[in-house]
Amino acid sequence: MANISGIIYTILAADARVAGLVGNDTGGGYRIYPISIPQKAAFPAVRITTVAVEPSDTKTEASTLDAIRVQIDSYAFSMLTAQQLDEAVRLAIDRYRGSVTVAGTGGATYFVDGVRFESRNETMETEKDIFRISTDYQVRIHRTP
Amino acid sequence: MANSIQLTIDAAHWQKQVNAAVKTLEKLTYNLEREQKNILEYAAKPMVEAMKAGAPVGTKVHLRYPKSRGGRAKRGEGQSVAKYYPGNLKGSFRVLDLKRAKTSVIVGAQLAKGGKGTFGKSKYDAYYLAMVEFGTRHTPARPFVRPAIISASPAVIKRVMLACRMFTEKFARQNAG
Repeated sequence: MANISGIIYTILAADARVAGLVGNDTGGGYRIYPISIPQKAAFPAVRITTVAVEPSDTKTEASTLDAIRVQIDSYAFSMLTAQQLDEAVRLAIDRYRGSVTVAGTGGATYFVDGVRFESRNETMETEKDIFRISTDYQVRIHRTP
Repeated sequence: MANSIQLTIDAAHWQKQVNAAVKTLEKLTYNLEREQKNILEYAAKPMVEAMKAGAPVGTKVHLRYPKSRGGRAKRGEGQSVAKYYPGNLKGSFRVLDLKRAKTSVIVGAQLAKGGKGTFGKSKYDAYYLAMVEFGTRHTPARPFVRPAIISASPAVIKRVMLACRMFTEKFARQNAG
């Protein structure tokens, strides 16, 4: 399966607006995390979650092109920053098309056939007044590097 | 020998037939409006089943405590207001009977009024569905509602088409001639 979180991370990290808003993690990378945000991570931050995978099988072979629904959460201490981050993420990946070489995979390159914005949902985590905007995208991607 | 032919249209008879056809179509629309909620309820069943099939089931009984006012009670001293058995989320999915949805049906998780009592056996209260589906800051998302919508949609559309066809065929039989 295509390394979807790695692909999204690479696209977002290469975007100056997103990189500038999220800043660096203590580990040296950007605060863009797959599945869950580390307990002591600072904010703003972005989280990438795979929601569903729709294959496009043919009569003779397995799917080579998958449509993957991805949820990207933008977290921040203020709604304004969360909105700015969410918009920066959208500007970076909506309608994206091209090859992506994922860092840390020995040069694995995937072809992203297209990214489409699907829906947006704004919530607030009551525990520490953290604002979150969850946006769903559909990413069409070639399965093999 | 006649070298011409006279053609006439009985406009009154034609008008009568058109009026009868319009009246039948109006009756069809009226009946369909009355029946559409039943059709949609029937069509939504595969989606409810898909959501139930995908819902995660816990292994422990969970207790919920009232929102704290003036600080939380010490560990073991709080008074629980609700008890949640494993399978509460799974059992909560249904076609919701909402009065505001007059021409549509809503598939989702049932919430309990007041949120007090024991849930997961015969009563259900899935107030935490969004936390499971979208995740929280500390817990990863476990999406199953959106995948269920994607996977069950073709079956739902098929059922809508089937039910509409059955409805119109029945109507045609009843109004034939």
